[in-house]
Amino acid sequence: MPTALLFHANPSSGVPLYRQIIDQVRLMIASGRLRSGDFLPSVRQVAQELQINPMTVSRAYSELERDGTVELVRGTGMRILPVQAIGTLRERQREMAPLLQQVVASARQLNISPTQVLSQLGALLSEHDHA
Amino acid sequence: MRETPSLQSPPLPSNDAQGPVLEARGLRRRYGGRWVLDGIDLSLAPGSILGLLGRNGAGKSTLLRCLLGLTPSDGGQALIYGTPSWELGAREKSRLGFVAQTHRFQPWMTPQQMVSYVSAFYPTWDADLVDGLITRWEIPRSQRIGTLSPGEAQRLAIVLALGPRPTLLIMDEPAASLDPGARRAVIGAVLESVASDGTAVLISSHLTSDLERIADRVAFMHGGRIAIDTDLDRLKDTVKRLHIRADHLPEAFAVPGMLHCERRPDGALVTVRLAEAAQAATLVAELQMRYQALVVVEDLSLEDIFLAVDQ
Repeated sequence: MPTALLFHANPSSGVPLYRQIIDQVRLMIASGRLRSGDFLPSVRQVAQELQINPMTVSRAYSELERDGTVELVRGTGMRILPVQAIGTLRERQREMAPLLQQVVASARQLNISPTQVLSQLGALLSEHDHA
Repeated sequence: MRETPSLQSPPLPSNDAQGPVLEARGLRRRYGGRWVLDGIDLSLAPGSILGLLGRNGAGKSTLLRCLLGLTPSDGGQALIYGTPSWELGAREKSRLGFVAQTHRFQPWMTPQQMVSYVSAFYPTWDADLVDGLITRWEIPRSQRIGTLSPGEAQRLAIVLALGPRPTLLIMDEPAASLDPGARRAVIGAVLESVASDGTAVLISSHLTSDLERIADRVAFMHGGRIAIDTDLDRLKDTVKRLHIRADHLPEAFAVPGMLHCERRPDGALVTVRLAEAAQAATLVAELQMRYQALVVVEDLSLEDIFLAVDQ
C-alpha cells in the first residue's frame, strides 16, 4: 500500500484541500505512479500525515469513488480502477472550458491572433499524439 | 431515608449519537446597551471542526462563554447535548474541554499538581495521554505555574482541556502565544481527538492558515450575528476574485453575488460568492462577451475571503 507521503497539502491555497487531493490522485494515475489495483492510503493515515481534517480526506475519496476513479473494497480501502473516460464528452469539455478561457485571455494580452493560437495548439496536440 | 447514589449512573456523553453536540438558537447578549450577540444561530455536529472568525470585538469570546454557560445570555438558547448550558450538570461537563483566552491558574501550583487537581473532576481522564503530551510539549512539570512562559502556560491549558478525552472541545484563540512548531503539535493533538472520540471542535482564531488546515466549517461573526456559516471547501469553491480588464465598464457595473468591487482605471477587481462552483466559467464567458473584457479568475485563501466578506 502506498504511503500517505504520496500527497502534499497547501491549506492556504485557494483550491480546497479535498480538490488538491483529488487532483493529485488523478495526476499520479495519469503519470503511472498509481496503477489500477493499487490502494490509496487510509483516510486516517493521510489526515495524520498531512495534519488535516479527516473529513476533508473522506470527501476527496468519496468524490473519487463517485466518478469511478476508485472503488471501496470493504475492510481494505480504496482501490484504483482501470482508467476510463469519465463523463460524457460535453461534461469533459465543460471541465476543460476554464483552462481554454485562460488561454484565450493570455493570447489577447500577448497579442497572439486566433489563427496563431490554433496553429500552436495544433502543433502541441499532434506532438502529444505521436509521443 | 437518605438517597444513595445509584451504581448504574446514566452513561457519560459520547458522540455516537447523531444530534448536534452544541446548538445556539437566537442567542442574545447585551453589554452596556449594545447587543454583542444579536440573535446567533449555530450548530455543531460530532466530528466537525468549526472555525469561528471575526474582527476583534466581534463578540467571539462572549459567544463561546455563553455557549458554555459561563456567561448568562439575555435571550435565546444555548444547548449542549440538548441541555441548556446554564443548567449543565457534572455529567455533561465531564467530557467538555475549554481553553479560555486568559487562564486563571493558581500561580503557586506546579503543572504536575495542577494536573492531579483537575483530573479528580473527570471520570474519563486519560492520564497516559496527559503525561505523554506534557513530555512531548516540554512543559516543566515541577516549576511554579506563575513562572512559566506564556507559551508553556498555554500548552498546559490545552493539555488540561484534552485530559478528559472531551467529546466537545471549545478553544478561544488557542494559538495566540504559540510558536509555529507548537501550533502544529496542537493541531495534531486536536485531530487525534477528533479521530478517536469523534470530538466536536469549535475554535475561534485569527490564524486563518491554521483554520483552513483543520476546519471543515467556518462561521464569520459580524455585528453580533453570524454573517456566513458554511462548509470551508464549498466556500473556497464558490468565493472567487475576478480580475476584469475592460475599456468601458458602465457606472452601475455589478455582478450577481458580488461581495466587493474595486474599480480600476482599466477595469475592476471583483470578489463574488457564486451559488455553485460551476457558475464561474459561465460568468466569465458572459463578462467577456458583454464588456469585451479580459477576465482572470483567482482562487482565494481563507484570509482573502475573510477580508472580502468583512468589508
